[in-house]
Amino acid sequence: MFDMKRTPMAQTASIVLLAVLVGGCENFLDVNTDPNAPVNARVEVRLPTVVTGMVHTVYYGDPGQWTVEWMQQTSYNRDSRSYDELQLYEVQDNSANGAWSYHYATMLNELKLMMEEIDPEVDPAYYGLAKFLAAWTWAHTTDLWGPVPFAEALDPAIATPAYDEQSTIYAQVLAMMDEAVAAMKQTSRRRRGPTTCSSAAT
Amino acid sequence: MPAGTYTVRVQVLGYAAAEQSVTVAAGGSALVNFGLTQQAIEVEGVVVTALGIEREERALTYSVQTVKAEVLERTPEVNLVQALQAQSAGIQVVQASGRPGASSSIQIRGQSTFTGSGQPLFIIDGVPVSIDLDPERGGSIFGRGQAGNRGIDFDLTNVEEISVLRGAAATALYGSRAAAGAVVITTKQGQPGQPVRFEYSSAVRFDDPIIAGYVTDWAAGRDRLLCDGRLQSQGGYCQPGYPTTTGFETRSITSSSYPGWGPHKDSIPPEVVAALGDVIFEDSRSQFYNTAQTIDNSLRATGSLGDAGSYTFGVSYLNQGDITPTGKLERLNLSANVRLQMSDRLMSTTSVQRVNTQNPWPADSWSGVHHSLLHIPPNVDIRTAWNEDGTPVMWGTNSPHYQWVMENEYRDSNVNRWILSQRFTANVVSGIRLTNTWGLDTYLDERRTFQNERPWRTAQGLSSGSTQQEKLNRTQINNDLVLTVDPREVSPGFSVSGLIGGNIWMTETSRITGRGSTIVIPDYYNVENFEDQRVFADLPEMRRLLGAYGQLTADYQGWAYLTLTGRNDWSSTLPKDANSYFYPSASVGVIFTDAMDWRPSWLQYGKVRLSYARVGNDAPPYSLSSRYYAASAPGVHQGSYQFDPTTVSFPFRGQVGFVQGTQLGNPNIRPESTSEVEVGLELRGLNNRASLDFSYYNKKSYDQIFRVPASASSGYTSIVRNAGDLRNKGFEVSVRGRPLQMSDFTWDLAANWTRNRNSVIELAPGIDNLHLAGYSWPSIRIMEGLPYGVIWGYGYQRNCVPETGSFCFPDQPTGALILGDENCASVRRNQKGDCYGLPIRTQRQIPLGSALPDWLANLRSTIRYKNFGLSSLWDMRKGSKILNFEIQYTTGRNGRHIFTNDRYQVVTLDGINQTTGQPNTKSVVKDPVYYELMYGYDKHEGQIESGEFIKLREVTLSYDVPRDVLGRIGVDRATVYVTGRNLGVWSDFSMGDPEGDISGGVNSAWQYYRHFPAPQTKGLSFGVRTSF
Repeated sequence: MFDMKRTPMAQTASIVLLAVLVGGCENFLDVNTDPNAPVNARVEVRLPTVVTGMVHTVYYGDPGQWTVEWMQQTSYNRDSRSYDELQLYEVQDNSANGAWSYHYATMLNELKLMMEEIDPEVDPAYYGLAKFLAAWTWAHTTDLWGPVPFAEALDPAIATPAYDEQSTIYAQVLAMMDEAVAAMKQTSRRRRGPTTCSSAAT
Repeated sequence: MPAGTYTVRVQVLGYAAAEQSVTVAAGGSALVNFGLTQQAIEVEGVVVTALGIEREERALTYSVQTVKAEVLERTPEVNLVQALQAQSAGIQVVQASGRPGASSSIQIRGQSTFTGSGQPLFIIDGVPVSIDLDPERGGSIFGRGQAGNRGIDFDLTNVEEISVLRGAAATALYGSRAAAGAVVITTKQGQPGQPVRFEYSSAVRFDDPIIAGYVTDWAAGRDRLLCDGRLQSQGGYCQPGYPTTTGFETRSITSSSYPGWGPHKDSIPPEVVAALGDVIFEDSRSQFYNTAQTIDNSLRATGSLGDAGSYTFGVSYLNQGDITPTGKLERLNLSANVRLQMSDRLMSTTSVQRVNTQNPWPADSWSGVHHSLLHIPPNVDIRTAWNEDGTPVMWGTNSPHYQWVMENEYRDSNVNRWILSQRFTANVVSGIRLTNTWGLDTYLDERRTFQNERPWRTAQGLSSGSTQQEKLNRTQINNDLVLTVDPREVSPGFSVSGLIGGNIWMTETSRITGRGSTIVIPDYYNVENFEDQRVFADLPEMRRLLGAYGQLTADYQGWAYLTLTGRNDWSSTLPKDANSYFYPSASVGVIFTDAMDWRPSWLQYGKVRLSYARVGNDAPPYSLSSRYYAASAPGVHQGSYQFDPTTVSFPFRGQVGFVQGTQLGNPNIRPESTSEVEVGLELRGLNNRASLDFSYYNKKSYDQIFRVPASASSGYTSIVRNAGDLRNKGFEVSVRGRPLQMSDFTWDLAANWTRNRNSVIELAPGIDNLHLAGYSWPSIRIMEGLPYGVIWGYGYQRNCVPETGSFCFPDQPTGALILGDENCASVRRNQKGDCYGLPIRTQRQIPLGSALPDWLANLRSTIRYKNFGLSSLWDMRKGSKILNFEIQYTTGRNGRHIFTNDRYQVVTLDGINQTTGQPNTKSVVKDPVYYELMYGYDKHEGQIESGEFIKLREVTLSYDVPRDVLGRIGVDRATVYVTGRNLGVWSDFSMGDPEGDISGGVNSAWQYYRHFPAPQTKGLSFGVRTSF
């Protein structure tokens, strides 16, 4: 039989078990770091994304498809409504959402973050590249949509950034190109070279 | 026992208590006979509440509704969640489709989160278990549908009782995990002193699809000229003069564009009969689907070990077939539950459940055959699947017969699951117990998607075949340590009881996915056998929670009860310095009939309840910071790439690429909150033959944590924020009674009625609506100022003064339709005159009405006559709407939908001319253009249908074999029964049954968006339940 003295032991054992589980690892609750998505990434692994996006999404993606169809450079003979719609020049108010998001929230935001992180004194090549790609993307953005948010854009604190005139943006684009050229003329002082991207580039 | 006069009181469940006085002589014995009267309503029942605490029904200070084994054993459902359908007030359960292994989701007291699923916490014997839906990696609801939720793993015959805890006061002790309610399940246990007893039940079930909604009278073709569905190259036939350049159709019958505008079946021209023989008309679905067969067996042994404890061992095997050749749900469930009285003070309960669930299923949604079958015209014979040489019959260059598709392209899920729990209960001193319950729920879901080689493509030098194999592991560990103090009298007539406890909870989810495309060797699905191979390994996503809680209950004179609870949680998903949140609840119940000593003849019991509670909730994991992801660059999104754009993914030829996610993290997130007030009234009267339970609740959910959409020009497309204010208030009424009672005849009724009103007071600054379900248009949205679940799309233009905002609702009484004039141009076609006399699409998308039901009701009737029983369960949904996406592809486009059955009639629509403002006089012929402009494509208003229904969910006729017959073969009890499931579905919805949810319960809006689910089923099961 179980005696009186041993009853508290069962309790104690349970409490100790609990204490070990909770206190045993001091940071029991400290598991809120995503093991599958880092909070930081080096610019060398981010540049290929922007370059690919420029080609595959901005040129080959939806805006590119529409342009070649409307120019009657290509034509589709598919059993698909979306194509009917496009060929009738029917653009819905959300048709370009994907392209708009990609330009701003992926291309331009990524380039902005890269330029903020790169020290132009140490790594002028990457800085210049990022600046050049940003200039190119801005030009493409205003080419597509006309007046677009520019000065107030890419600031999460501003939910509805003001639109800027195309003329303002093109002037800024030219200035950015000049800065990019100037930066690329500098000699890089970074210690570690960029990861190879020969196969991707070809 | 000393000699004297005693009062003997007898209480038997189901009978009224009785007292008699008896005089016992010294050393003698006395015999007392009681004649008990049957009682319709169980009077002093005991109810399982939060943390498995059993409380007397009279002491409850909030609403709890229970479903007992005798009701559950009648339900022929497989999914644990589905078994609750129509069994309680305050809940809404929907089954995704009729396929084996389909999800069921449940909503308690309305939708209380903006974008989440809001599923309640499910607890089995003190252990939280997953009923979750695990979406596949890269899966597409629109493309192929979803796997089932994990409610399909449980053996319902093992359940003793289910308590549905609806309000925040009832669930407060469970903390934030039960923010959407809790479902507490108690399994069958051996009773002390009971010798070993076996229960065996066996059933066989036959199910047929519910098929409606498509024309069976009109043949394939154009301009009332017939085609037989085969291509020209396959010896196909089209009537001479067929209006295409070749005189034949070039599309395969599986195409949604294959025209269905041939002649009526009663006017097939003789020349067609001469060429083809008699043309037979039959819905392609009835040609293709089979009767599904299901076998369900379970055996359980329960008993006691004398003073040492008790045990239950169970095994059950289910093999559920599908209406398609390859769908199946095969489940083996082994369970053991052993209670050991280790000493007079220490008890142990160990429970082990091992489940294997195999569930191959054909895709539904867009890519599924259920969708494509809708497009096949009824004069096309699809019964022959194979040619003589063994190759499949081809319907187009790349359209094999669906029999081939079923056998060569399907998905499969194989789950191995363990649910373990260990509870120690120690009586510390008399009346004080310490209980520790540890539980583990872990499963590995091995999923496979196969698409075999298509030899005819290989012959043309084209690629085919793909595979995806996924191993998904989900583990949940829970520990509760609780110190309970039994009621003790602190002053005369006033007693208190209480508990304090601590909770540890953690979950981990990880998965490995291998993907391959372009198969090399047919029938061989290892990823290595594919030309393109990708592997993804997701490390465990973790979430942890610590909780401390306490409850104090007070009882005054047995007629006034007070319950106070408090819980504090510390969550891993909130900012470290602000991860703690507290929530209190207080509730009272007063039995006013006892308090006022008011005992009219018609009322035996009356109680009022009042409660208030606040519940907090934490954030999704990893919401605090923005993260980088392996990048991909999407290409074209349209046409055949709609579900699968031509994406470049990294690593690309060895080059890695990362990109900042488009969601901005928020390090300042606060816990979200829900507060709820509930008042209730319980009455029992008419000699305990009738009872009423009424609840009113008002629930406010605010500071919701969700991904608030942002303008992409801010650099992010969504920001995690606290925002919003969502209200749910409603009534729940449960009535039970026994209208008839004779010596060997009883008739019981139990009814529930639920009305929930939802209103979205505020979403987030700058956001007036959010997408919940569907494509970007049409869609179901949540909009400020309107109830959750607004159908959103293009309407017909109306002549009206907006009542709400700037919108004219379709049902607004002043809203006469504006119809096109002679010179009108349809918005869709840009062709002049197209819309003459027909509605004109609105320029913008507008809210087209609320999808949510006005109220839900269900009624269970149970009749017993001698050894026969007849029970039925009726279910009703009033006032709901469905956006039937299927209509846009099956009306003007191919003339398959039942809406086109009145084709070629002439009609003059009610409305006013767009130019003159005068009543419309232009009559139109109901031709394909008419249907297209009324229902097709962007005419979303025409795609809205009623979602109301009345269903006879279940009807069971049973016969208890007499005991004198059974005694001879050593059997205690045997019942044979036949159950009909969904035998009657009455609905205005064109597809027969408006219930369905292609998402499987991603949120509760999806059930109002119809998108080619597998059909629901109806059928009969025959079974026997015995114990010996």
